Amino acid sequence: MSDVALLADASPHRSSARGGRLARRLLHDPEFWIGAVIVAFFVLITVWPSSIAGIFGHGDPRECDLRFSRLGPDANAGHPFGYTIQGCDLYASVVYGAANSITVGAVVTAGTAIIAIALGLFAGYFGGWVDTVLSRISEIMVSVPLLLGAVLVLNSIETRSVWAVSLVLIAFSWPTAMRVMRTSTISVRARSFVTASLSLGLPTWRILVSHVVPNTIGPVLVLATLQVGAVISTEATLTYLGIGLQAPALSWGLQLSQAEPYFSSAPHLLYFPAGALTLAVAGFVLLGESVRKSGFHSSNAA
Amino acid sequence: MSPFPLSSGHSRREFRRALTAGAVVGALILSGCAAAAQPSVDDGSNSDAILRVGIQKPTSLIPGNSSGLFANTVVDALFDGLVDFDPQTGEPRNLVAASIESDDQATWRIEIEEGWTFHNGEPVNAESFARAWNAAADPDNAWVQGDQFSNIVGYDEVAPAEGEPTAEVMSGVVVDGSMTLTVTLKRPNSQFPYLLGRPYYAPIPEAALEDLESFATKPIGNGPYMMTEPWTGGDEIRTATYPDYAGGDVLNGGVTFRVYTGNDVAYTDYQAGEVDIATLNSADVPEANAAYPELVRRATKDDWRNYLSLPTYLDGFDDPDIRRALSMAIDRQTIIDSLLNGEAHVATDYDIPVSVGYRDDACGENCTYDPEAARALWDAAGGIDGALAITSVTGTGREVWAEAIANQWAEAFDVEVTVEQVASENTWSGILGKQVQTPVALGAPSNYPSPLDTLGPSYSSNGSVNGSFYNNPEFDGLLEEAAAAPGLDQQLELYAQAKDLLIDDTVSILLWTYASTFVVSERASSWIPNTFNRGDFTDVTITD
Repeated sequence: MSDVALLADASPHRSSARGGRLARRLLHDPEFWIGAVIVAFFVLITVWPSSIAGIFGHGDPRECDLRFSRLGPDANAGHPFGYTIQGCDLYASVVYGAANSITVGAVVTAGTAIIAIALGLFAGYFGGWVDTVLSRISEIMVSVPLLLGAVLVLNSIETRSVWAVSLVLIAFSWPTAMRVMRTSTISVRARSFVTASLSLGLPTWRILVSHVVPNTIGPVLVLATLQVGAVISTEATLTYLGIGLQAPALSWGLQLSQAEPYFSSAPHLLYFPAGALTLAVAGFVLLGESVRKSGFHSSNAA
Repeated sequence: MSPFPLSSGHSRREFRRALTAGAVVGALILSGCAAAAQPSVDDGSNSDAILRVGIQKPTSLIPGNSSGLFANTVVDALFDGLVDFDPQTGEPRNLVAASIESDDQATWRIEIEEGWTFHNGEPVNAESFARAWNAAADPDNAWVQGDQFSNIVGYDEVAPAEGEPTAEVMSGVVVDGSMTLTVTLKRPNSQFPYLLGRPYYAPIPEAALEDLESFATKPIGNGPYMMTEPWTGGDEIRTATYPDYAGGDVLNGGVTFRVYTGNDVAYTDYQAGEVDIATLNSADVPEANAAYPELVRRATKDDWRNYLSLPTYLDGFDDPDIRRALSMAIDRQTIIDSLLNGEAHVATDYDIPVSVGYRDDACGENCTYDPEAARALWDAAGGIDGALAITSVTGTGREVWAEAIANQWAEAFDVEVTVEQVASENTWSGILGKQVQTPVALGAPSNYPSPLDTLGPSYSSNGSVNGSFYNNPEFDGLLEEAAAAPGLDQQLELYAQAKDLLIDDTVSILLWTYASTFVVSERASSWIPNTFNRGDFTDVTITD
């Protein structure tokens, strides 16, 4: 009995020493710092855009004067990025445009992770017909290319909000993470501390929540951090193609698609929204990459 | 120069052109046609060369079933009607008709010129026209232009609104002799000769009704071009010059219509050298101006208008003062300068500049930007509660200026204004079905150069595109009076009075008018836009 208890106690997620090692590794990784600063900046302008948008004196992206349409950057006049097609301040528009992209990125990643963790856990832990059904569904979904599926569904929705776009992206992107979750659950399920918990008579939900999830969630979380950047660029792609967010929403993809005919005559309309998009994607990718390198995903094997 | 210009170039495109030319020659030989391939004249033009014209998918190639610019263009190239329009003045002039006369604007005697034949050799006579019009009115065919004939006596017996038809043909269309036709209208219509130039008034041969299915894919017309192969919805509609065409010389070997999903796509293909004539979206005009300064072509007068239809059945929008305030809060000239490259003109009348009788100063202060006066008018009338919206049609690019108007309204009236979108195929059903309950950013081309072209469909109480739900018996009465008036001066005077009513009521919000803009390739640079006869390509010489 005491042997079993000892084994159960050895459930590795409690090891604070290992957590410290992870943190140390991260803190010494320049990629982490660059990524974290960029991500923190974008989160800040998502939550509180007026703080940053107003620093050049024209913080309202809806305050427009058509006579200035498409004029180039003029730092002295307080318009360092120039003007939009409608004659609004491009800098403020780009700052306010972050909110939709970051929101979609966060919502889709969280939604995907929750679905993937739940379904992967059930499929991997219970096996049998539950596994068969869930795995086949995920195979069907994964066989539809994300962009094609999103184009088909979004085309049939007339008014597309941030939430509609997020839902569609979630619907087509959960299977990859779900399969990772399923695989690691299967491997953890055979481990001695799970067997021990079972023989102790712990209820299934308790085993799943306290013993299986903490030891399998690592890879999914790493996948998720890497995914944020991809989701943001997918949203921008869909919006650019005219099937994502719609005017008058402020969004980088929309700003790019509206500016497309003017790229040659007013290149600042291309550079600044595209630059912001690139920077945001790069920030999230760097952050995700540094988390992956720190060995977080293999914590259960430590 | 031989019809095989292989020696003049080595690119694959040249080779393909040579193949096309060869195919045409081959077809001519195979069909036993006596007309030999004509050698080109000294200026380097090639009368066998095929002109490639960019269009979008036509609704139908049957004259009586075709609607929209693209179908009209193709049908116009395949069929010739009783009249066409003078490219300069827009006045109708006889084409297949020898004379068109009426004393009372209700009974029209039409003489048809001898010598016209259909592409299958059948002669064009009075019966050809009667056949076409009766087929279009026949409810069994369900052709979309059927109700265009509803003003002809006997239409109600052929196509009753309720119950069974009691006649096969309209009693108002009488064939008096092989080349004479008398048409009796229910109500006089002085603009009838204009209508005769519309594609759905074109003649059809006997063979058409014998095999309607093959006629639908490969219509047999009497125009300068004949189809060389059936069209079943593919990306090319191929035609060749009809050797026995009675309407004059054709200076090229045929027209291939290339079907694109949008003007922007056609322009991309133009840049790749795959099409000779492409219509430009206004957003592409500056780039085309810069890249092809010698090859951009504009219609000589504005032939399109943009306007906002208004949901006049809603509270607020039912008040002419509110509508006037909305109109006066729009800075049209700035939008034209900033967003439309200066290539449009502030609208000043309720029809289109190419229409006979368009006035340059009619709208006055209703169409003049004055935000303070607009605000005063708005406040005095009580404004509109809640947010406003403007709906734009997807794929038209109008959302750019719709957003500008939204910003100007928001500023003038201190309200929230959003821009919404409606799919283009749902636009009219949405507006007329009152699902789209906002002002809608619309565009309309001129179909024929009479004020009735715009006033009838858009503003008469039973108009087919009366998106503002205007219902004014006085206006309808003036249109009828104008239709019965004998001389052009009198007609225009009555139409002017009718348009003044629209201005007083600010039925829809006039914005601006603009000319269709095209790019043309080097080889077809002799083409000039022909606003009224859109399918007329006979004068285009091609240099290869």
